[in-house]
Amino acid sequence: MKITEFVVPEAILPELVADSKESAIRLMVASLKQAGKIREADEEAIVAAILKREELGSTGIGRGVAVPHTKHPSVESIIATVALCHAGLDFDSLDGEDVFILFLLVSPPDRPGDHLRGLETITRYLKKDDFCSFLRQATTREQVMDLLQEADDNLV
Amino acid sequence: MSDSQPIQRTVRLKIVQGLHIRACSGVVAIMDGFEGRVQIHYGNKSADASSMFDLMLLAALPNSELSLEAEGEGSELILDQIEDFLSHPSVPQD
Repeated sequence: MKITEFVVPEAILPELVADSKESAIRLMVASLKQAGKIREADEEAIVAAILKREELGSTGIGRGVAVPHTKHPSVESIIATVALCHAGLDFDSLDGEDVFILFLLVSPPDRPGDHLRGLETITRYLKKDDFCSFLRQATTREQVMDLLQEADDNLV
Repeated sequence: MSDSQPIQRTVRLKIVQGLHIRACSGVVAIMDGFEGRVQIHYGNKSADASSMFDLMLLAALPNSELSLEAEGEGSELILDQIEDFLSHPSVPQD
């Protein structure tokens, strides 16, 4: 699975300013709504589901990365957005460090394989130091998408 | 078998959502304090059971077969715990 197949370019937030985990998640879901990928009627339910999931354990997986996510029947295939929080954000991460890169995923409930493969793709890229470093330096949607495309093409 | 020798075990992944983030963090939590080494093999992929990123890269599907390999003092006990964790479907939803 390629990352550019499910990241919504119009929903990328290259300079996210958020003062809490909840506000970051709200802004990212709102961005997916504004991009036309989530119905307004589903927005609050999706936010609530992601926050509920975070209560079970943070998706701040270390290395300055968080992957908040949920499954929701309103999406027919996995969708995601990326946010870069250049100032760092307390996300209750597993390693106790602030996060700078957030990937938010919404997947259909009946396709666990797609969800796992989406996470696997994101993790595989984020494990590369160069990818993380370049991503953290990006400040525009175009830069983020170019980097994701390069990663899909094995150029970074 | 001595704990100093690597031991292996096969386990069927019963967590209904597969090896998702919460399941991975559960394995990492079990590994906390264990000074030996555990590898989890899935297909042609292998992961250090102490590494969140490694485990997520497995993307192991529900009902798949995993091979566990442990070495170090307390290997039997750590494999018991990991096997028990992976063999039950009751990890909270992800």
